Amino acid sequence: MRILHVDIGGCEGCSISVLRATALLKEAELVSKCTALTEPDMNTEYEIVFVTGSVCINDEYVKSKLKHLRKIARVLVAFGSCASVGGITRFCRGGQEPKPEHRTFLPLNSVIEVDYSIPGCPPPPQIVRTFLTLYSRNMIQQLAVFKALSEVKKLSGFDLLDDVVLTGLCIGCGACELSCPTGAIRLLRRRPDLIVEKCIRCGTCYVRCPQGSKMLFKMVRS
Amino acid sequence: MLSRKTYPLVRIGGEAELVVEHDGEKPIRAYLVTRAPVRGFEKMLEGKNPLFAIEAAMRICGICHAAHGVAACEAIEHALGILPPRDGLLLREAIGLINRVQSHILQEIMILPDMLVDNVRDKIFRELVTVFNDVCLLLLKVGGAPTHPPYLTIGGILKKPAEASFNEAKSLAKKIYKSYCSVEDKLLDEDLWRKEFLELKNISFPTRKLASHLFYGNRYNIKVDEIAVVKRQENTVYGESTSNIALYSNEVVEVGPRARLETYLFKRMESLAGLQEARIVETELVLRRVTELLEEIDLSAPLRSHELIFTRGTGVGVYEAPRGTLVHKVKLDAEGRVEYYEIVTPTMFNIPLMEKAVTLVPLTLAEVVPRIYDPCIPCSTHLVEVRR
Repeated sequence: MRILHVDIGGCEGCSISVLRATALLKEAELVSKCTALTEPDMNTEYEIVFVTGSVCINDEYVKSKLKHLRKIARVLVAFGSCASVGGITRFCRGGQEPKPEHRTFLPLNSVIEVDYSIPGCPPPPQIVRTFLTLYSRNMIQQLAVFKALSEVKKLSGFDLLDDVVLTGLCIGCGACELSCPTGAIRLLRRRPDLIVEKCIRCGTCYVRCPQGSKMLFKMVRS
Repeated sequence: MLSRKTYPLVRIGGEAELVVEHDGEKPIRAYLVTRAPVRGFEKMLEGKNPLFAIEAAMRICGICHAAHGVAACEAIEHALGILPPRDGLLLREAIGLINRVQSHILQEIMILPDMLVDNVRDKIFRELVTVFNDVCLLLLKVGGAPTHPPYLTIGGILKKPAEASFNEAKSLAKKIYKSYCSVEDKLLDEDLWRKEFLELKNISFPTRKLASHLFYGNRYNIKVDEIAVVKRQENTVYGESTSNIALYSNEVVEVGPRARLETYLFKRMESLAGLQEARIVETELVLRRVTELLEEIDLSAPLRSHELIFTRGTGVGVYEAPRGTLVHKVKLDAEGRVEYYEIVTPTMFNIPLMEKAVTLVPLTLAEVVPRIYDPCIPCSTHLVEVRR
């Protein structure tokens, strides 16, 4: 299986996760700028393309690159929170030298069609291996959550509060607290409390929440 | 008549191109053009709570995440007049140094094809990837995550690592040190170097160095006001570039492992290959320091200041990131929210030197030079012009 990894302007944390997961993998051949001897061939088709980083819609170069990646990918995976739901780049407001016009950063599915999304800041290398195993065995059922996520354009601790906690669906399992990469969620009286100033809108809590993933399917169906 | 050649750089952190003007054999001028979009973290932080500033600063870069986290903590603590407790500071130092090892080993993995002969490269690649994975596990145990460690916070350490996990970290650090020493010997063995890479050993490139500390960072060891961020000379080549450069006392200076070893250990390695050797030597030194620190830390002692009052203030955080001196400056308003934020990253100091060094090597080696300097493009695109 030939896998291409391309970063379109992220922090490179997700790139390292992909590299760690696939560097010593025998079943897959990773083509990445992190390990390639020369510029990866962008004119050939790849089975899976992992794209990291969100898309700056004020940067024509990045947008055209992303559209080209869609053409050469049989399956395109938005990897990491920035690529799948915007993540920390949702807070960008531009105005900074030397490119003050770089104002708006959006998840990949705002510009191209995405097949699967894997949020996380960054997602652990284990999830790459799990994804590749499920994909190579064609286990569609198990991949359904990543498929549903590819339709979602925003996800954060605020959405978790609105959709799960305030509606009374929360069962107080603590999965959100354990999964939050910044410690922005803690359980108070067996209910999640969001420390709003620490939420980076990565969406990990929502995906890990057993009720949240049900809501995702519901959202996508509607 | 000069010809122009563009090299899309691979095996560096982020996306950049090297444009070289050459006479057929030798590069005459070189330009490093970065292509990563400017996410603008300084502007993003304006009006935000300092706690958000720490989390956001760590997400500037996924390679030197903890370095940005520590520099941001230092700047905000300076603004608020907070001094974390001793063991909190030691643990923070350990987290920062583990991140430095992560970054150095990643660079060593990426430069292997330029450096080593084919028959040993694959074996050493596997060894380095294994050590890298162990280092990530170590940061998970000590800092709470292998990337963007959440235990870093204002006033010290947010959460005490579990004692069992911390004890495992101590033995893991010793194991990593031992494994790395065995790889280090191979990396420094010139018999295993490629002929072309060996040529870099004979190219001397003495530069003025800047470093604030060997392991941590100290705002009083450098003159922060002497740092200026400037736009590069008007040139059409730079048209789409997304980075500026930084100068110290209006001069180009080198920052990073070689500058630290020369300033604090008086080790001189002036050749271009010397920069790579310095990084390899520093990795071992830092791993030794990490094992010492972990033994030294008392988890039963306080790790965070008890009283944090967010109010008006101005602060500077200077930290020795993997690639060199990193500066964060912050101004907080009356409510303690960020009014102004500025970041100067090490890659911006080194970009002019990379461009100069390319002109000293044969054209065939032009592409290798930026990799030796280990530029970090996601970091370098977050500078704001100092014109207020």
